[in-house]
Amino acid sequence: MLTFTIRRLLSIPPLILVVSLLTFLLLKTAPGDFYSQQEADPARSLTEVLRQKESAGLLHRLNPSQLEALGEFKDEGATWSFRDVGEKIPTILQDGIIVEHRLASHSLLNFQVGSTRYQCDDEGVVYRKVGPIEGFFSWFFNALSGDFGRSYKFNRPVFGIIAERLWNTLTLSIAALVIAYGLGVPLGVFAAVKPNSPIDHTAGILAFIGLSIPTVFSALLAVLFATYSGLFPIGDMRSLDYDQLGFWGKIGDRIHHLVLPAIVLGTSAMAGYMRQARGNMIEALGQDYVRTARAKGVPHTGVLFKHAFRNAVNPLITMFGYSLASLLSGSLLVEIVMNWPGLGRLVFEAISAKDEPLVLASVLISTLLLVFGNLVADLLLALVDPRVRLS
Amino acid sequence: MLWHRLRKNRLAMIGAAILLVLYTLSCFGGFIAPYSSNETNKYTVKYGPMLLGGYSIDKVGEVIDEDENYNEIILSTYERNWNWFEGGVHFHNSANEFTFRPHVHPLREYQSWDEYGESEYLMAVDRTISLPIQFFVEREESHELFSLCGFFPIQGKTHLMGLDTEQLPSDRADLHPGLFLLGTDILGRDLWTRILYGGQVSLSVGLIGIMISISIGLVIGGIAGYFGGQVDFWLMRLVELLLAIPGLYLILTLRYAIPDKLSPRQTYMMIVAILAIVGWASTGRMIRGMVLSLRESEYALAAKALGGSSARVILRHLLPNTASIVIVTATLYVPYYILGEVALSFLGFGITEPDSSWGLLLKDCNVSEVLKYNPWLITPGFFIFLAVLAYNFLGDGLRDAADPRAYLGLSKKAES
Repeated sequence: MLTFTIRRLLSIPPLILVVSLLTFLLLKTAPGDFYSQQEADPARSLTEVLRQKESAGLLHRLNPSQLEALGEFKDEGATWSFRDVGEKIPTILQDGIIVEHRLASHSLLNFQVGSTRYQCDDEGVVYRKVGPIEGFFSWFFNALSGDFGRSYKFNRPVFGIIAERLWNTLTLSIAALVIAYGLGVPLGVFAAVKPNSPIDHTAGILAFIGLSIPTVFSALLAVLFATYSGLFPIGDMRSLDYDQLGFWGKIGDRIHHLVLPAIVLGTSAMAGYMRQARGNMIEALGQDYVRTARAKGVPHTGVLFKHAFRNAVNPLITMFGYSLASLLSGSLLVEIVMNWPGLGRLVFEAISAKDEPLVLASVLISTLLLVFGNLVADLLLALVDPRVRLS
Repeated sequence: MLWHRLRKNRLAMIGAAILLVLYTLSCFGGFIAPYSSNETNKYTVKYGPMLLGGYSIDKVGEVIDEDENYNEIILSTYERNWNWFEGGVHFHNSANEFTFRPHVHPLREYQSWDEYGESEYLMAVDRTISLPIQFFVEREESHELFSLCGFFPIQGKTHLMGLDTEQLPSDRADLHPGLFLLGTDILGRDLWTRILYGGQVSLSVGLIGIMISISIGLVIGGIAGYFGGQVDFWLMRLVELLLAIPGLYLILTLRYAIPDKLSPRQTYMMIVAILAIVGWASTGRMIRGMVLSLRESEYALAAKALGGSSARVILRHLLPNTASIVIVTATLYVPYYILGEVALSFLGFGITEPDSSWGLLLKDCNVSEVLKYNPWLITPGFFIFLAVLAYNFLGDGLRDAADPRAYLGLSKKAES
């Protein structure tokens, strides 16, 4: 068991490395980035935009002597070259004639020499575009020291933003799990005690519906219900007057906002637990030890709850690790429809805004959660059930 | 054998029937739909479903205003109310005589003024006129009567249903005939038509996606399971990599890497490709496990001993034996592809206007104000639910039919 844990833990760093490399490369293949729109905007200073790109690690500033070493190159039908005149910025020559920096930057905003790409701002400062592999390694070494970069959109370290949102998503997921266990397991056990009874059939149909209802649809139905009944708030995590509420008022307000999204998210998980609980319970009731207990004269409820139930429910308890991971993915749509400020909505917003550091860090964090959730589930299963051998 | 057991499973048969209906509807979508897929109409924006009722209008007040010549004029304030099962599809003609032919009232626009002199147009039914619904009507523009997700189209001009507008007074510009069984969307397009056309995308994405990812899964799982060793090790690490990233996050990241401006056909291919790339991993792992155990079976060893090549043993002997499980898993996984497309289109990264898909149709509902006043816009969600439910019914039945132990209600332990 210890070797299993160590081996699994050791497999996580390479996995994270590959996931981050893959995500990074995918993000870099995308056409354009967060700044392309700003570059094209004449109202913005190009110098400023490029400086921001440099501080974001997308560009690398070149000094005049490096530029002179580039030699002559062709761009937009003209021959260009740089000359180091001992100042901070080089002189730019077009077809051998000195041109003003502002004019030159019109053509040289994006240019290519060999396979390397460059950008020139309107003050004549020239940057080299950082390639994807190089960019990845500089990001990676920063990440090793705990710096996951700054969000382009929020201009804050991504870690702080994610921590906030992750907490919200975990709250929602755990609430959903509580609902799923609290309703699913008793219903499943109840159905198993009287198999093929009307209750069992109803529970079976309910399970099918719960498993099949798309989260988008159930979330929209919940919003519709909230608007018409007025019993629940329509979205967000807290009311507008949240700050004026007392301690208990604040807690009540939070719970009030949490109920509907948690029910929506918990429905499908609930159906899964219900089926699993029913199956496990039916199997447990058919076991020899149950028959023995009955033969000994143990009362019916004692057999059900002391002998069968405990055995049936053990594997279910350990399943929460897997469920947490799947809820993470499932909550994305619920968060968007019900306006819940969680990690899923953050990823969606970051992708829409092309905020690459934020997307990358969110994907990494969610992957870590999923992997750890699975590991914990495996370990719990082995702890609870001595028949399971991990190797 | 499988078929016999399946036929006894009532839920599975219901599922199969629902799927048959849904696929037939979408294949013949162009014929069944009363309109073409993108027929906007500014007069019929956000009108409720005629199958369920209609809007009536009441005059609630008057506003006195002046016209440009400073003459006093009286403007009316109207209030519109929804009536259940009244004013929608009905069975009498304009003279109020009963007929078997369904009729609908034309929509009439009312200009309602409020006390601030602002006006808005309200659409409600004109109860005095009933227009008959006609079947197999010819319309001027040609469209696809039948197509299999865009392939093998049959062109024609016939629509299953249409409105006979001959009885409509020609001098009334405020009357707008329309046959909106499930209501209209925010651009005045018939929702039923949009759902039919959307189903062509949403339902076929699932089938094509699962076929591609099962093929990839069969090849990679077969290779990994048969050869074992290093090949197996690295292929399984790849599978673990794909399974380690939460599904929807991976889908969105993959989508991010693809340019935004795509033709409809390209968008469709892109969605299928993304879903298949994300989806093959779990099937691949399952098939690998099965091939791993089948590899040592006598018939596989015999085939190898008789000089069968690796490809032959995998393709002719091992993979066919995984068929029943593959069919069951495929059926149970199709919903994930349908939901994947729905999620992508709903988030605005998939099918885009003016095309239609069930996810895209739901996107309009994401504004709670729009949803509140036009709750029928949620109908496409019901169709998604129905499709997923039917696949689950069928898949569950297939699983029971493929596994006789489960069918007979015996657990593995009880048998051994």
